[in-house]
Amino acid sequence: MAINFTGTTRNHSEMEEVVQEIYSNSGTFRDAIVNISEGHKSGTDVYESKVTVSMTALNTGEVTATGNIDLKVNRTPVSLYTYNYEDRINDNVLKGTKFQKSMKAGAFEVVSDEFDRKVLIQVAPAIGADLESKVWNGATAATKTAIAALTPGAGQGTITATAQAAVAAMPTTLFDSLAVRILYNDSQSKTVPGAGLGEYIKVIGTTITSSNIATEYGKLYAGAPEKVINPTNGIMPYIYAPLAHRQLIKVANNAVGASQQINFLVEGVGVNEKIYYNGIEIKFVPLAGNFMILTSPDFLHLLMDLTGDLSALMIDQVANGAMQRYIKNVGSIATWVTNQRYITLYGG
Amino acid sequence: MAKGSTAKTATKTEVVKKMVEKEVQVTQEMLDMNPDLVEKGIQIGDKVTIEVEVEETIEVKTNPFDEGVTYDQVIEELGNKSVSTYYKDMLTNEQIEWLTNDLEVYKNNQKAK
Repeated sequence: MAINFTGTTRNHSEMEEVVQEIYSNSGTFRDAIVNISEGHKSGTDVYESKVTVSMTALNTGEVTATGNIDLKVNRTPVSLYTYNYEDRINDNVLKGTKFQKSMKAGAFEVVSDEFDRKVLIQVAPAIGADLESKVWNGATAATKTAIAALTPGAGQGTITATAQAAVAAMPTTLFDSLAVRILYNDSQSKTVPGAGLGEYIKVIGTTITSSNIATEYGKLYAGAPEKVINPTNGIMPYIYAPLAHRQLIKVANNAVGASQQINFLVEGVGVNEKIYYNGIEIKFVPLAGNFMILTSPDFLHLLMDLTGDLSALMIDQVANGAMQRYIKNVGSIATWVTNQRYITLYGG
Repeated sequence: MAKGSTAKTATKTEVVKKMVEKEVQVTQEMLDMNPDLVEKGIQIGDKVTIEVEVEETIEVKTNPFDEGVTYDQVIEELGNKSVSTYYKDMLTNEQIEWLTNDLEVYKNNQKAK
């Protein structure tokens, strides 16, 4: 007997999974690839010291003030920026979707457990990814103006025009990224203290491709101070490089024929993979422009109230009978740099 | 400077002293002061080559890669010359290429202000 159906058809199955966005894994915070200092609410004083000594011929008499032992201590106040991510969620719009099935019975009940488990759960990693991106790439409007006003040049002690353009093109953020802090800061520990160009070592940069990546890493390595490359405190420096360099390095290392340049040591595979250049581990971070940094992780600082704030979400019902929920994340952060004369910035 | 050009040329110069060889005609005074010439049989009117100190004005170029040298100084010194022409004996090809590009970015940054 033939089926005589009238009406419209609809889908009767659905994928269990809700396909998620890809978020970076917040390696800067998780692996503490820079110095993360917690416990700061609104601001903190950063102290730097340096002792310089001079040898003289033996004095058998009374010791007088010679100026041969210079004990220098500098204090720089650093303000933290307190930010938030916040919004309201109107769960009512989920009616008529797969998430309706997990809503409890009762007209007031519109919160979907499945939605919370599969979609809302992405808020924390999204915040982590966004914050990590801002730690490496971004400048406040005020810093952008200040950097644009610097007088550029090619030699040490000046910023390149390309770096100025790169900062101008960065997202305008609520706190300065590490790359920008290196370029411009008001540290009292610089030779010329106060607001102005950072005291970094400049290595002029170009657009990096798989063809020139080994040469350019060579310039960064050669430009770094000997004390950084030969650490006596047991803390090896890192090269902080843009995420895209991982691909360029692999392409260069694995090219066939004359263009092959096996200059990078690749150890391990997958998430455990580590890549080294001349024994210096490369940390791939969301740096923009041509910037690369070679320094000790001890000299790049993230000052925070609590690292755990990253994933601390406050979610609750909005008051006064509103059938909505609010979601809020709060954190405090500042980037800072110390021992600037030992920070080598490629593309600065 | 070409007619209508507004570019300035600010080449720095420096006067230096150096020794150069010069052919001169021997005079009585020279023979009196240099008995060696007489011993060698040189007479008045002969031509000899001697070293004399001269002052020379040379062009001093600022190395743009020196610490603290700004692009404003470089541009002023370049005048209407190109980077490759002005610095061809001073900088490497790679430095010339890089500086040309960065000065171009600088000029664009200035326009954008």
